[in-house]
Amino acid sequence: MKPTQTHGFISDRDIMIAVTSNIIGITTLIFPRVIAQYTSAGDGWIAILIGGIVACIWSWVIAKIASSFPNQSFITYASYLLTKPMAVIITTLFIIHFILVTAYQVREVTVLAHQYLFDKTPIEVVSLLFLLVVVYGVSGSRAGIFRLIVIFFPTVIVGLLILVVMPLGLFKTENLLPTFQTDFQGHMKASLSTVGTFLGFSMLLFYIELVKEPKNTPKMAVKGVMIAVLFSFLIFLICIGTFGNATTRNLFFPAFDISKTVELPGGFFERSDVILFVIWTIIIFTTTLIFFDLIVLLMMMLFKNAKKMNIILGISPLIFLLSMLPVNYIEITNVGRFLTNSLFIFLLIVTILLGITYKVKGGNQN
Amino acid sequence: MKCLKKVFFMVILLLLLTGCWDKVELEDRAFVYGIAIDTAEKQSEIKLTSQLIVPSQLSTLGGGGGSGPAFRNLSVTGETIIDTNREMIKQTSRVPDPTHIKVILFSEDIVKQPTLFKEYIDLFLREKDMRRGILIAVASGEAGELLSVEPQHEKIPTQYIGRLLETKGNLETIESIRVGDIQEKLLERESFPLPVIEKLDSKSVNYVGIAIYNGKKDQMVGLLKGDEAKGLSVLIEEKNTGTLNINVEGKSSTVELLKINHKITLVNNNPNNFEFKISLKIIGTIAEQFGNQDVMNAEVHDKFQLGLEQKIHEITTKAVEKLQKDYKTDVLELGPYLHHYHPKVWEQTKDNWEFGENNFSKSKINFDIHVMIERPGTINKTSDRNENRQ
Repeated sequence: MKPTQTHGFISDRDIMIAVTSNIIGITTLIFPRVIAQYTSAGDGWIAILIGGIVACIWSWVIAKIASSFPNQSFITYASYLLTKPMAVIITTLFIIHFILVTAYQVREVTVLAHQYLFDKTPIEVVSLLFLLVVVYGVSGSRAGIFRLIVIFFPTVIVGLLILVVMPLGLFKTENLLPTFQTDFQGHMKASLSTVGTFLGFSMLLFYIELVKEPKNTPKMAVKGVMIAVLFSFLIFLICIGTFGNATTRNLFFPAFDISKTVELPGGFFERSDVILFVIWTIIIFTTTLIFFDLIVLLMMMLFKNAKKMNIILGISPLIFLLSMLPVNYIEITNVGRFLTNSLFIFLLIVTILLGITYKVKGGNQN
Repeated sequence: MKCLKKVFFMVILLLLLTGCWDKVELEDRAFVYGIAIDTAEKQSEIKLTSQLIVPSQLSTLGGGGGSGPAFRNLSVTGETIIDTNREMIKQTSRVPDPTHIKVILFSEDIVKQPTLFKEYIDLFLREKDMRRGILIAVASGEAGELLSVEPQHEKIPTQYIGRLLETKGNLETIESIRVGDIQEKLLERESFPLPVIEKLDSKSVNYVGIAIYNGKKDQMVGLLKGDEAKGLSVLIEEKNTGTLNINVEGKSSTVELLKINHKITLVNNNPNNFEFKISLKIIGTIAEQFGNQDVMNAEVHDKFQLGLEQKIHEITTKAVEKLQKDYKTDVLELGPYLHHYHPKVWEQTKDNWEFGENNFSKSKINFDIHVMIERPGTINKTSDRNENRQ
């Protein structure tokens, strides 16, 4: 990567696409189950709506703060707003979180592959191969990563549309009834976990630096979140409409199982889940790619003289080892929940800190 | 030289690409197409019959050069299904592949025992290779026997049974039941109907009627046949239509139902004294008449409509009576209706719906039947003579 390319090579549109790609990920597969657990029948849509609105506002705040410091890295503006040590601590915590998330993603893609595709291929091999592809992607230029995400985007959207449209024949409106039977607590819990699944917008803190003129970036970022919310909304309704609430809360990957329910005529298409498996792998790949790149980006902020390749090669084995740590599905689920919850709290604190100081000190153009 | 080295390196890398841990060649797979589950002699064991297809035989059969059937049935006994299935590997030369299972047959003995059906269905939902669209049917008699019929127009018995279950056009049948639908019913502990089939002779299978599965007792509690089955079908089916015989002026006639619309309304919401109204809107056409009525005549047309209305009233009443009095099982979806549209009422009664107070059996069900004979068929009448045929 040439030094001249560090700033201003991505557009607002790229940010929007990256936000959507980062939010739609492994959690999209799982979240209908979580929300169905807290709500009755099809009531979860309220939670998704509330969670979506909260996520939109939150992402707008983050993008607004970050875009007030055009072409400045996170550590620069965080040092300006807070203090240098605080900025370093926050950055370090983010690095740790992103390392854990990347490891979690690598492990989950293996779980998914094992659940639906392979039986005998060792977990280590699937994980390693997936991680190697991610490493290959990260070691190129950052512009390349964004270009890749933009190229994948139409495929992902079409794939998700197929996912939503195909089961419509099995959709039963009765499954969405009775409406409004969920208590307040259920709605609260469901809304909170919905916001948790949309936390992928945290990348805005770091990537807006790369946008040349981030004037419209907050708007585009919110648009990106909105696309993700829309798809989550549709996927949830389709899951409940096809399976019913009771089944949805008993499926591990409800969003994947809807493609297993559909049977198109003809022996080959009897298993349409095969095609969607490819889409899901792409989706998880883009998410993991972004997280890994964020690790590199933040590490390079902390260690100015470090070489990119050295960081990548140093981090990859760690990620691989971490991803092998959980021994069974219960631990993996717990890890996933812990990561979401911790990021939720952490990001909230960071946003509040940055927001208050930003109000006091204002933006800085230099 | 450098280029050569590169090429050499790539060739070596190519070798790595050939590896695949989970590779099972198509020729090595034995596709399980149908499964039948029976009780075994020992109490705790089951007998599992799997129908494996032999792909090579399947393709040659069309050319006439095939020798032997395109399928193979294997029966093994064991304690759980998966255990039995693995036992089967001892007998097959190939690895059984469940990805394309079409039908699962449960013998009546199993479905009639409490909770057994529920326990066995778990595997078909849990196993990753299973589709949620597998059809389910109850076999009257031994289920394994059904897989050995030799259908004349299909290559594989399971294919024949699957088509049979999916065929519409007779009111005594219900729409095919998929394993995915069952999960929701079992989780909500709702009752549901299941198709029942039996082996008629060595070449054919017959659709007997509709089994009534009670979701609270977790067992099959009864069987509706003939007119009762038709009555239930009229009440719950939308896509599946068929014919009804009616009597007009002492002569038999057949009316084909083209479209059935039903709507449930709750008239009285006192839990001890529920009253439901089921409105049926039926559109039919005259399919056959033995008499020589002038169907173009408005009066005759009314007679047909009245006859059909009476007939529908008769069969639905029969079916509902049997469900309420004998089986005490709600497959009419009245419970789910309450749950969906009157959640508050349902909260009060859900523990006393099919057992305890048995509010379902106590509730009054009225019918509001609207019949319209839309088309007369192509002709008015076949003969003009007004004589009495014996």
